Amino acid sequence: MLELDLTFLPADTESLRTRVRQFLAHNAEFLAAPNSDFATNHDAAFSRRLGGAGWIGMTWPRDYGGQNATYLERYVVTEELLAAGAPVGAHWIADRQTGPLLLNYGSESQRTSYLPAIARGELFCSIGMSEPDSGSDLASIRTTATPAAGGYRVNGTKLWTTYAHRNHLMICLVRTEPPAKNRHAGLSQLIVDLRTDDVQVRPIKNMAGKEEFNEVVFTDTFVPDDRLVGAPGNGWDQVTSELAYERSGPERFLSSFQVFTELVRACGPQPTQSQAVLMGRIAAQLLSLRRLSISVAGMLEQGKDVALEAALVKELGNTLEEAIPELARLVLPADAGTPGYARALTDAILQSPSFTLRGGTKEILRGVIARGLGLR
Amino acid sequence: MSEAAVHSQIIETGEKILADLATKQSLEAAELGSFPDGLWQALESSGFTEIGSADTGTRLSDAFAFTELCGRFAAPIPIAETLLVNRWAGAEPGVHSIGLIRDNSVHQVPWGRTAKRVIGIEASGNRAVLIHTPTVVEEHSNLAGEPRDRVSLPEQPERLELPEPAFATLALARAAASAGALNAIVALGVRYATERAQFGRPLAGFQAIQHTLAVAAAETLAATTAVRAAAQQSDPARFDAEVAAARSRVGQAIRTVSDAVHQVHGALGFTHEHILHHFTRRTWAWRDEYGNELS
Amino acid sequence: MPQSNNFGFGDDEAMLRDAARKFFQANCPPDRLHAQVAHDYSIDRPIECIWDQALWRQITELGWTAACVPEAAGGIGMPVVAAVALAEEAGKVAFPSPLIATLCSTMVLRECSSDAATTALGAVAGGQALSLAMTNRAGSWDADATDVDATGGTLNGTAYFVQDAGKADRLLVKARTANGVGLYLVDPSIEQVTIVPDGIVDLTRDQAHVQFAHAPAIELAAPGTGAAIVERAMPAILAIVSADMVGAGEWLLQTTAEYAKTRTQFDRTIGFFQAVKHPLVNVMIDVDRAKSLAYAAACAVDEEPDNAWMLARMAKAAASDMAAFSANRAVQFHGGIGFTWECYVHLFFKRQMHNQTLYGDAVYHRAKLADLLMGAAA
Repeated sequence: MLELDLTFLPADTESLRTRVRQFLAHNAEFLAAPNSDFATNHDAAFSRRLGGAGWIGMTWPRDYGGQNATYLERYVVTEELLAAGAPVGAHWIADRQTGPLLLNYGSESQRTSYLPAIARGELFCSIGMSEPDSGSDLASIRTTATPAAGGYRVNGTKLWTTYAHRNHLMICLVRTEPPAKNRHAGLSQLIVDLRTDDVQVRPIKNMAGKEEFNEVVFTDTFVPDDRLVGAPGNGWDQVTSELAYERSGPERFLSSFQVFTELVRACGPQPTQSQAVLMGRIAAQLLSLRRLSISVAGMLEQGKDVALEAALVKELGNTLEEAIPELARLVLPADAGTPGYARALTDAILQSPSFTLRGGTKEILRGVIARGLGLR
Repeated sequence: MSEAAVHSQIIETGEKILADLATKQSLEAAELGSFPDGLWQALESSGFTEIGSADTGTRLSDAFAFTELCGRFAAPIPIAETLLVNRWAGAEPGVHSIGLIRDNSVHQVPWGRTAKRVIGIEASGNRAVLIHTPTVVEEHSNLAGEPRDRVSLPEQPERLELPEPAFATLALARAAASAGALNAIVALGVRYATERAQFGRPLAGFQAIQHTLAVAAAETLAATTAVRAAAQQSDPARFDAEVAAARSRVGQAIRTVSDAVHQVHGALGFTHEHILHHFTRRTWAWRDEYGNELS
Repeated sequence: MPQSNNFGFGDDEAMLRDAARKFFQANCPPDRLHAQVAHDYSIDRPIECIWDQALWRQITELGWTAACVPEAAGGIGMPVVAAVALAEEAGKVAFPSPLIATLCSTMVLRECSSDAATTALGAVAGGQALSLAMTNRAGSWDADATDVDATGGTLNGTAYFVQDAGKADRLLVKARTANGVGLYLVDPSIEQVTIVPDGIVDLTRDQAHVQFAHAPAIELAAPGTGAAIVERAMPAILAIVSADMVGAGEWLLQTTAEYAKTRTQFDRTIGFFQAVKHPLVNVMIDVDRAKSLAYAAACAVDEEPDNAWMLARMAKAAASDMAAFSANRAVQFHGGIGFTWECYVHLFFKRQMHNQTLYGDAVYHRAKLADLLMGAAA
């Protein structure tokens, strides 16, 4: 039905893995997060250290601050960072999405002015896609950019813009032409400077009580011409190519990984049968997801289109990372485990509703898969 | 020829033979006890019963891949057993099979009644014996109607040294066949959903159906991935763990996928006439052979 | 399978329920609740006990906390279904108060049959709020588990997981003596009692562990009789807590259905999509099942005590699963909005999280049900 060529990590990535682990051991003071959620821990100092080690933008050409590394090497680095609960939130979007977007579609001057700073861990980016009336239905966005002398005037509101209040840039999807019969036409992407452009950023507290995502309001905000990414009207294609990077990585199944490791630790060498069965099931699912995710990284390396495969990884991964805390609490209640377990479990239960919303809801992903099966 | 080229040639040619000869009629005849000789001869004459044996240019992972392919057609033949007997005891023409030694017999032998040679293995430990021209004590079948015979254990059977852990290898073979069957089950579901109309449009037009099949496809992909990863595992120290993970993952997928696709088929999928049950019943039988998801 | 014969309300219970519904709907809209408990929240905020004491006084004056207090002790003398109806209505507005704790406490006091217990029930009718201090550090729900000792009329030790401890006027403490477990009444405001608030996710109630250091106490039930009394009271307590979840589940269902009828994507209200409407129907079925079981359990306490334990455990198991499912689907179908602090859904999500484990989660009760059905040997 759905064929995927398996990719295995080359043996020489093991030395890279060792180096990442050593780096994390040297920087243990940064590892205080209760969980492995890529979006919940923003630490500019950590990102600078990681950039210094050459592990941000590592797949990019050296001319732009990268290391010419493979996607499989990047996979090893991201997997280790997440498993350790490292605070990767500051640079994550810039590294995962903005960099590849600018490499694929950006102008030469955009690449030279932004990519090296991103790779150094000094320039952080946010995604500007969703709006109050456009969640799953992204093509219905209403934020407009109308031509003005030397650039555009932008009007509208972006929502769920993670870390807009702490990051530097936002890649903003806007309507540069009015909606037409082809609802995917007339969209473009602009680079918004969150520090200097005239935008209002309002943090929105999430249900876990943390301020991570934001509302960003544009009122006749001027954005110069040279911050248009790619060709005008090409926004939909650019955005959908981003989604492939967004949906297939290990962050889509490791968000509650700490619950699993703490569960294993708390249950000790003699778990009950139901605990042992659950741990085995979770381990089996993690192993197969890891293979899938690595194989998608292998496809990215070969320049293949991975939109469908990425949706599959996210569907399976979100299902698992949402299920882990729910299943764990049934075999070991929070107050019956260690303090570390209780902390990871409570945090994961409160964060988990976001897993199946961010980066494409489960309902939308199943639609993508159904299309891949020829059902729609 | 490169390994990849060998692999894809096996799959392509094998697929043609199976599509032609592993028909619904042959499945039904096999369930009534008639061995599909035509299919077997076609596979044997193309060398497909010796995949994974020495001097054939193929590897054990190819044997698992071919087992998966046969699962995709629910081929009513002891293919994994024959491939493994030929690999472990030297290749010979004919049908060969494998079963578990318990109480002085070899149990659960697929097509023991047809087999020229049978290898008996133990659930734990390394003892394996080779039996020529076996004697069937009792004929049995599993819940998919596949022959699972009891074969007598001679007093002084020939001992065999096996290059890989027998029980885990058979366990993975069942997982591989199941993964193939799961892919076929999802394909049947997709085909039916696009052909069958209700309320004036194809079932596929309903979101509930689309999403049910999307989840089934995702589960199948995860299960197939786990199986292939285990089959291609080159580190013997990790083989047991990978096989356990594959069995666990496949077991979870079987429940979801068979529920989903039976639901999509409605009552039709519950009829003997429809081909779906040849696949789903096999996955329900195979998941309990050579251990289950929990063992 | 046991079936309760008397499933519905009498006229009095229906009137009480309708009055409670009107009262809560009028006084406790979710925006007011949000402003009250979540408005200036920060993660580092010190743990405090937030509730509307004026509203609470109105409730006690209406006599609701004494719904199941015998008339002889000054209460209304209604059956347990009345308490369950009140809990359901309180759950619908996630009401921050010691109502559930007090109702549960009266269930224990009703079983005590001592003069001291009758006096304590009278005090409830007079407006006192109570809470149960009966759980040990390990969180065991067993009737004889406690980390508090009673000697010579004073208590020593710590009770854990005390619900709405900061709002209670008196605590009903389970304590161990040389002659077995007894029950005691303690005034938590005295200096020999220290209330240490726990950090919990639920913003609509407080929880604490309570330390006793030579705390003088009134004996409610003699040593050796306490465990059996708690055992008899527990089915009613489970029914009340389940009803609180049923109410919260009903709010989550209605609120989400309303949102699905108004939110538009792909040019249609999202309720049009089968991926949204079908799971909402599943939530409705689960809420109904939990509700039926909670009322059946309460009826059994009133009418068929032999079936009370089984139905109460079935109710708590079904309600706990429903609590998780209703909360989860509510957030998912609200989309990003549902994950925000400003959206009221999280208040109910967290109340459901807390209720799920209170007095045993679904797995615990199913295991106990298996024992009931097949005998402990099975």
